[in-house]
Amino acid sequence: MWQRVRWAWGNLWRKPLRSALLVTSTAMTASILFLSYFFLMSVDRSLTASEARFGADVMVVPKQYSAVAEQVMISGEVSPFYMPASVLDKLRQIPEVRQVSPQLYLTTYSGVCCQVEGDFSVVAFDPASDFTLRGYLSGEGKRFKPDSLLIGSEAGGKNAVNHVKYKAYHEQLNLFGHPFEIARVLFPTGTGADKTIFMSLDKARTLDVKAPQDTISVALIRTNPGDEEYVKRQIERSIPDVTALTGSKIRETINRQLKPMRFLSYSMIGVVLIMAALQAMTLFSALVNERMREIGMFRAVGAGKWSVYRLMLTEAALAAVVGGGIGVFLIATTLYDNQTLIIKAFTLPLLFPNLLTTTWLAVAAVVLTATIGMLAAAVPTRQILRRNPYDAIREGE
Amino acid sequence: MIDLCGVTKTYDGPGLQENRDRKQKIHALGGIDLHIPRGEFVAIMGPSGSGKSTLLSILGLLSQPTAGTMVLDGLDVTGLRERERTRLRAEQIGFVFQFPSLVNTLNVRENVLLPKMLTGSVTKSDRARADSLLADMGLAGREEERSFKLSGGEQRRVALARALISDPAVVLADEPTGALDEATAGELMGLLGRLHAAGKTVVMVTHDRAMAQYATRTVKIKSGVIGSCSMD
Repeated sequence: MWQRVRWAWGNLWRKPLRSALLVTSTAMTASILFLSYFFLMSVDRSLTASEARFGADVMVVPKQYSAVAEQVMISGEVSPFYMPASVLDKLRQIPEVRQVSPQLYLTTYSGVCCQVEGDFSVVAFDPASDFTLRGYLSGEGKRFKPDSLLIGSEAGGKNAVNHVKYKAYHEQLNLFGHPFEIARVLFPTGTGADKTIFMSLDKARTLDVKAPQDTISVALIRTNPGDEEYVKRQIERSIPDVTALTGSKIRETINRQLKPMRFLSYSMIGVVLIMAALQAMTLFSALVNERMREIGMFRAVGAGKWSVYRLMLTEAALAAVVGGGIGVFLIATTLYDNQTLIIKAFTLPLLFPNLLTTTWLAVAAVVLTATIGMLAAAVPTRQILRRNPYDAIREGE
Repeated sequence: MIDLCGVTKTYDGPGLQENRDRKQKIHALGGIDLHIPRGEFVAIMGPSGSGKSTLLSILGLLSQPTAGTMVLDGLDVTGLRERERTRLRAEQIGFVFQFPSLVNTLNVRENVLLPKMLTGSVTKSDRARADSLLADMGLAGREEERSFKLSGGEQRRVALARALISDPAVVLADEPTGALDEATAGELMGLLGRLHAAGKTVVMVTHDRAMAQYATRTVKIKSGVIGSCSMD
């Protein structure tokens, strides 16, 4: 086998122009495949993160705001609406409710945060009971105190993330007439939440936040697995002025909204695959036909059909693996090197896959490209092998 | 060694003008009877389109006769399956083509070893045999050279060495001296003569009378039918 691989490899090296064409073609195929899946996975991962972040098992909102609340959970962009804070006590009385955490949506802040100018939503949350933001906090930073803020990546977080680890770093922001210090930043989700500034609910109550006294906007609830629907019904029966939205409903909404995009992405991958296969087949067909005389001669000197197939497929596989490897490596390094730029350029939520997933994706793209290349080489080889070897030799001369 | 009995070969030609669905039949060989004993040097002569190459193709087990039988070394090969024919071809038949048909991407030694490379792995003894054959052909010391750097005559000699790598009993040569100058052609025919002297059965297709004189027997073929035989 190694002898055949060495021979095939030698054949590629000794025909530099032909091999360069093959390698370039397969590099393009593999990189396009990798890129398509990479973006699809990034979007999926980002949406899963967004869902996890704001998709508590159950979210309780004022009765007339259910549609608005659904949008809040999906987009992360908040709009002020209120309900009495006493709702929290009633919710805690339901035995199946494991955790309740309130959030109060405040007015939008227009100004500069960490050298970033814009309109940023301000949300007050309860650090003690919160279970939604915790997973997205940057590892580095200061302890969260009543006068501290958490900021989304687009609300200056990207500028702050490299500095919050230093003790000497003090970034201050005046909100509602009070000076706050940036304590930590949140990792990007690609949703409107990235443009949000989070402050302590207790501190917000001491300031003139233009929200009615003793109110909250939403109550986020965590239940035991499988109890979501039951808890939702319990809440709506026992607290008439609120609406409870379950995570599954939100997931349904997200999936419904994502359906056209997924369809588009998979269609794109399908089209790319077909185009790549056609392109590879055209190239391989030309290159194999160019070797008609050689193939006929191989058969005449005693090579079985399978031996000829193996040689041609080994050459195709080698060219595809080398080309695919180069293509995937180049595109992957370009993507990771320009991660921030790409996230900014696309309005879609993007969270890049981790190294292990990326490696698997790269391997899959190269394997798929090699398969396409081998199939593309097999078809014209088969056509030549069906001919009389003697005719193939004479025609190829 | 080789016996052909009533061998015919018919091809499908282009569709008839009056009926496109009915293919025209081309009769390349029309009932060939030929006996080639072991160790004979036979020249097959005839004009273009007479069926010489078709006959060589059948003798080399590259195509099946439409009718008739062929016996090779006591074995009826007419009905053999493709795999068996390929094995027999690899073991018993060596081909020398009209053009050297060397693989440009391989060096001289690798070209000689090509049948071995294609049918299995190459051993040390195969390499030694390749070098010995090249030395016999007057190409000692050229083993590592790329084949396309050789002259036309040298390339023919490499092709002949390749035909002999499996030590076949039969060597088939299709116009082996085509496009060679007289002196080089003479050298090559000398090598074929040496093979014959060493006991190999040599069948050569040619339209050159001078080259046919090297053979012990000349078979003339015209319109797919053997016309006459002349013994040396």
